[in-house]
Amino acid sequence: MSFFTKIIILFISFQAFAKSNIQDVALGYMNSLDSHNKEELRKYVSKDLYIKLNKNDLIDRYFKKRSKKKRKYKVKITDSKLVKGFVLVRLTDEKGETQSLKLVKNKQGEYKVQEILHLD
Amino acid sequence: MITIFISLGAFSMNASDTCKSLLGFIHKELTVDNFEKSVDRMNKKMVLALISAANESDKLGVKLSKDPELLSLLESMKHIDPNLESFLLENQNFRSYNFWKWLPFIKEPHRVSYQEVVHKWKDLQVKRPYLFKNLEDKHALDEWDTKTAQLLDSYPTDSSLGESADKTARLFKNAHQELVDDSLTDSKQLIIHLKKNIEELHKEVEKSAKDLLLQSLDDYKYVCSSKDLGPKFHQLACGTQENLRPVLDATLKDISDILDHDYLYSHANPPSSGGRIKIRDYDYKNINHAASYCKRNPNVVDTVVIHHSETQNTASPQLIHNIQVVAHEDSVDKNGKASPWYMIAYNYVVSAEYEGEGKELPKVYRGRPKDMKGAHAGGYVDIDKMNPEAKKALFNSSPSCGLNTDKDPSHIIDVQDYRAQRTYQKNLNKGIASANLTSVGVLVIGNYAPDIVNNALNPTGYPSDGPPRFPSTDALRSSAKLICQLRRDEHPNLTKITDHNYIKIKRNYEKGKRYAGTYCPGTVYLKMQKLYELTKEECPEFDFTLDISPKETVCPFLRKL
Repeated sequence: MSFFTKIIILFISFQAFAKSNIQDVALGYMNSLDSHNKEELRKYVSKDLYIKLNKNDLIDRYFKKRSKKKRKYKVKITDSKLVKGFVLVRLTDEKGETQSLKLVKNKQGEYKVQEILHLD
Repeated sequence: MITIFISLGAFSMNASDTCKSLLGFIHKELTVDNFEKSVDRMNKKMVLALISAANESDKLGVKLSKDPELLSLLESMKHIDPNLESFLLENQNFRSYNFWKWLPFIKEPHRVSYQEVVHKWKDLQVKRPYLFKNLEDKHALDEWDTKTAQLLDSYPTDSSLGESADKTARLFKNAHQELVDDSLTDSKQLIIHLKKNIEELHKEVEKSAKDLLLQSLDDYKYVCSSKDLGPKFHQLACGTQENLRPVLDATLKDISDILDHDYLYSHANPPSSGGRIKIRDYDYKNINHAASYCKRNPNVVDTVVIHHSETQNTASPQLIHNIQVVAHEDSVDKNGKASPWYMIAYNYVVSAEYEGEGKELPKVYRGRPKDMKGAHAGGYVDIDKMNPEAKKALFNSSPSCGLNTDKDPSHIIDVQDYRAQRTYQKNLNKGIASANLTSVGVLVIGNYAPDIVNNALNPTGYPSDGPPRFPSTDALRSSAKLICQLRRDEHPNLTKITDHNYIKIKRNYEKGKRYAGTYCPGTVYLKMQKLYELTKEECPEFDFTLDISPKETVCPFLRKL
């Protein structure tokens, strides 16, 4: 295997690792909503978003409306080439309802959900 | 003023003496409300005068840089703030003065106070009436304003009020310099700064004068009724002297007429600008040059579509651009072909505070250029229902689509994309056109939906169990002015105002088919009638129709409101 081939394989593996990390965070976020688990949710969202979710008891009110059950999601990741650090994840559940999340890397290099986007 | 003093003279010397003193105090010493209103009145008049002068000099092409009064004002402002010298040196007149000031007949400028600034303005209004011909008589600076300025000057510069007064005076000077330089666009910007500063000054005035008033009113607390003193100082009021009632009423009415706060406020928005609003150019970063876009004839536009951004109202146009560009970076069309977005979807962006939030003036930014088709509406329109002139333009000028491969900032198409043109032709044959082609999108930045909507989280929305959030009247008025301006300058066939939901569902709804709408523009939908009325008010010379979603087609949260 030539040196360049090794570099390419290393690069592809790194990309794949990064993508799976993004997917894990997005799915972790959705699963914590499905299981009504606030502590779990804290792990996947940025500090700012967590504060917003707790303001006016938003997350508690939301849990009251959202049935507590596990769902399966199809995941589509857009790791932007144009806007640095902007990762958009779209998760579609069995009913076809889609959630769009903006993920960014924090100082520790971990991806966190920073915003819930409504793309209309 | 004269009326007031005549009225004051009508008081009898005995029983009314104390009340007369009180009224005298209101006039001469300036009380909290009056001092505050007087400062406001004076500043507003100066702003109005400045707006008028700026507009008139623009029309007449008068070179104000040759105006000795203005130069003198500019010069004297240097003494208010010596640090301004380097800034002033950029001004040609000031440089000339600096060069020639050793000549004996060039007078050394002296330190100017707020009072002198007012005085110079007054002088200018007398000497150059053509610049102020749009001002009503009551807006001319008078003795009362001189007194107000005098009182402002009596506060030492190291007090917060004195500092604030100085700052405002300096801004007036800057505004004058804009006139001197004939850079009128910037002077409008200065007027906005000025208004902000005036607000700050007001807070200081209120704070500082309150103690003065409370102390003085205490001396007169047994004279006037609570009605005379107003609800603010109700606790200080005692018995009423009935015989003084009519005189007192008349005098107080005179005072309120002269200090007609609301009237001046309502006229503080440039009256002579003909309802114009500044559209700021915005330098969008991260444009997707791999995306194709279409250029159109601006005359094909007959509809303005109102949107909200579903973000915080503090979001910048760049942030919205980023979200939209990224969201469509990997998009594909029905045929599986790549269909990314070139830039922000809307043609105009209105950034404003929510209703009841504050007084900052809304800002309007340009999104896509006026001749670029938007990507905001979705759906199609029936050509037969279009404005006839716009329809004619649609048939006479086909859009050109393609790529900006050399990434030039004027968005010139370098490589044509004939696929999009074929689609346009096919649609014309079917009697329809893309709604994006025939409309302009106006985005009101903000989230006008509840924080839980359609079973999804919307953290920047308003609490779903609380009162709804609406756009401010200022935001609506700015949008109305924008619509008028678009009709006047950019899209002469613009006649319809509609909301995003309706443009999306319209054709299906009218044919009795199923429809899938959107909850955009949130509660702005409920203010569409108001927007329409404001538009009629701003430009009564144009006819517009309001074409909004029927109530049964809007989102449940809107139907409940």
